[in-house]
Amino acid sequence: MHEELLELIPLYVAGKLPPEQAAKLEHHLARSPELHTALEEWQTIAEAVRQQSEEWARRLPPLAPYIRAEVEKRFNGQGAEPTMITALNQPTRLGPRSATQQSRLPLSLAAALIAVTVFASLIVFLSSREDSDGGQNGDTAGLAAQEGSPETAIAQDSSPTLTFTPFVATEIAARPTATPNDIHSPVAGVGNATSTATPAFQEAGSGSASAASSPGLPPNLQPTRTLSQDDCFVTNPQETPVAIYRWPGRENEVTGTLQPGEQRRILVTSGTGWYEVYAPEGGIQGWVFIEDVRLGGNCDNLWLPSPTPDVPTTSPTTCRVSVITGDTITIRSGPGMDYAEIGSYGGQMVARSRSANGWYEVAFAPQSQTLTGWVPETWISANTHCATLPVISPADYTPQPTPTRFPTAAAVPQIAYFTAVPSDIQPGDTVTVSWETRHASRVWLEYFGTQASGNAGTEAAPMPLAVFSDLPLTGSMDIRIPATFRDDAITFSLVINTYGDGERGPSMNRVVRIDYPQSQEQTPSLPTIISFEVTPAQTAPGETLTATWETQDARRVHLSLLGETGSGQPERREVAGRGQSTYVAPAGYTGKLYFRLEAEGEDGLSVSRTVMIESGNP
Amino acid sequence: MNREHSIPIDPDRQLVQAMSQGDARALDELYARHGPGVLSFLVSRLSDRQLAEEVLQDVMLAAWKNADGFRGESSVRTWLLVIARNRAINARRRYAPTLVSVDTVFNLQSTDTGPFEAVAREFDKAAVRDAIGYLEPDQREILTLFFYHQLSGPEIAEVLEINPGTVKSRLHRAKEALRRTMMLREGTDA
Repeated sequence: MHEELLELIPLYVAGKLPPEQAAKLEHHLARSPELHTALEEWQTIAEAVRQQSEEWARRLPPLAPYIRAEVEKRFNGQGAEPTMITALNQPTRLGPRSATQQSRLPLSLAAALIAVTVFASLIVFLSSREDSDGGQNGDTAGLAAQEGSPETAIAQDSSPTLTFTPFVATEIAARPTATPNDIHSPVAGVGNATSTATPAFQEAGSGSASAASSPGLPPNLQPTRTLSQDDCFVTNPQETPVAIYRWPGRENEVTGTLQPGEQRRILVTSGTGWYEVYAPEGGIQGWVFIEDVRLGGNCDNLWLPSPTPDVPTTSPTTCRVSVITGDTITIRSGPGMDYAEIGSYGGQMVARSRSANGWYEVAFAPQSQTLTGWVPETWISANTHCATLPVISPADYTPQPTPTRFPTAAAVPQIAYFTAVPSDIQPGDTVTVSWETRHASRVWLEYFGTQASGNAGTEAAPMPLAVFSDLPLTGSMDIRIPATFRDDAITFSLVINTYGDGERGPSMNRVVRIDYPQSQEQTPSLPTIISFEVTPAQTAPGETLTATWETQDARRVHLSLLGETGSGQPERREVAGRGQSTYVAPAGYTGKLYFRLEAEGEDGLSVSRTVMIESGNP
Repeated sequence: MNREHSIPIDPDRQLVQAMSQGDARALDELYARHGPGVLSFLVSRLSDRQLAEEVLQDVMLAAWKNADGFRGESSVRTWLLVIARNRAINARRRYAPTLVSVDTVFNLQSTDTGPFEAVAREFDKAAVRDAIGYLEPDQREILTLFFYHQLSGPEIAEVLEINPGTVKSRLHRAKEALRRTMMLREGTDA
């Protein structure tokens, strides 16, 4: 009852309550100090919103000339003269600005922004964990701007009445709803010379939906079914077979091969660029490395078993270059126009040296192999580390006798993987972000505080807390979340672009939830998995396994089991928030068993944890 | 097929109808009446006055071109705000992000005041106005739609493309966000 009355108050303040309800509310308002306080607060909010909005509504510019032109098109047939309302004395604008023009900012703010970019990079690349408390940005204001920093033009018409001027810096776009299909394009859809005739979304080899069900196995351990559009899969885009390893690492034994053009479905990733693939007839075959294959389908919900291994960090002093015009550039075998062309490329390149006559020696990877060549400086944008490259004289350069040509394939920019772990932290903890991309010319990372799970938002355009704009195609970084952070979650967004500066390309988000030590009233509590264990880690068919878990603030908890020959839906059932359950390792079956606990809270927020068990021969 | 409405004749609707027949003066009139409101909404969504003014022109052009598609099922203001909101979201997607202000990152770090340790603070209008600027656009927009544009619950649901039932909870979450923002800001003011 009380809740209902509280809900009516803003409606009442806005004058939207019908008379009987208004009278009823007034009756209660007179008797409840709490309701009355809420009323005053809402009245203050309403008044502030009105005042602010009225200020924003002032100084309406005149209708733009291009609208006049459009209107007159209709008019010229009718002969009447359009009248114009010349509202105010404002400089006429000439229509929408081009996509490459960046926002203008006040000079001092731009300097501060440059400072924060450099400072943010320093936070990362100095791996000391000192507190990034406010005062250190002053020193870095003098450092040279990185590529991609905003123009320092003076802002026009800076209105002193806007109270949120610090936030004039443009927000990022509404969280891009770029479907993973955009990012991991299946082979058949891309005009790639190496694709074979395997149609997209169909599993190589056998595998009909529920045809050959092996008797005796639980339903979730049935043979593979046909790939659907929502499945994540890999394809071998090369002309040679790709090795499948037992564990994620090339030092492990090879358990199979992926033939050229073959596809495999995957459900599990290592978070370090390895993917666990199913064999066509059913069963987990092993792991493939992302550089050997191409991802396709919907790979956003891959299971990430714990613990996840360490990822290598990147060198902070690499000179990265990309093509300014946003297209491809001709790469030659030496520093000069009279050297042979070896191909064209448009993605990001690493420069190793420069020649005195204005060429960069670059290393790049149009496919999985790294090649070298030379590109002219004219069409290249470079970051600050390029100033310290060794310079050679062209006379000293000896080219290879037979330069290697590479085929100019349609290089589809994609994000191969992007992870942010751990996915539940407390303020003050560090998140490790890792990524790998292909054929991008620029990679950047931004993160922003959000109030709900990244999955729930459809239209949000929050303000980024930081942007790291000069990233390598593959890498990782540690980001420490300040102890005073207050939002419910952080969304990390990796964005690649395929053109010159300005145009955003595909992106991928990862959400990290923040747990606060104290419980909070009135805000939706985040579910937490306090513990989740399955013992023993090594078992045998027929033996008993015990899953034990404890969650907090979860409205619903599910426990799922997925097995090695499995590919169909994991067996998923609802369990209590805290409990224990026994399983029997399936007889007649050896291999991995994945257990996943999902805790769902209010508003659809959920966290999950996955444990892997080996069921071996007794 | 139009639904039957028992709505009094709306001069705005007549303007849009005139626009659909090519009357340029109707466009000017509509602009004079609703331009400020739509501009205000765009500024609140985009936090960038210049961009908002440009998007406003796009909105008016779209209104002119689609005037014959307006069937009068919602108010003219709602119709314009739906167009404006979509344009604003697309405008955000087109332009590369520039860096965020230093204030955001470092002010959050410069205090250890917990959200619930802040002393009871006078919920004063200046503080609220300040805090409104620091809200996320979604939260700011529902407050302005409600208290400034005076849309009804169902109209707000139409503009935001959400269920009417969600409008109330969004509103209250916006208030909560305001409260938290104000506590944060209080901790960081010199």
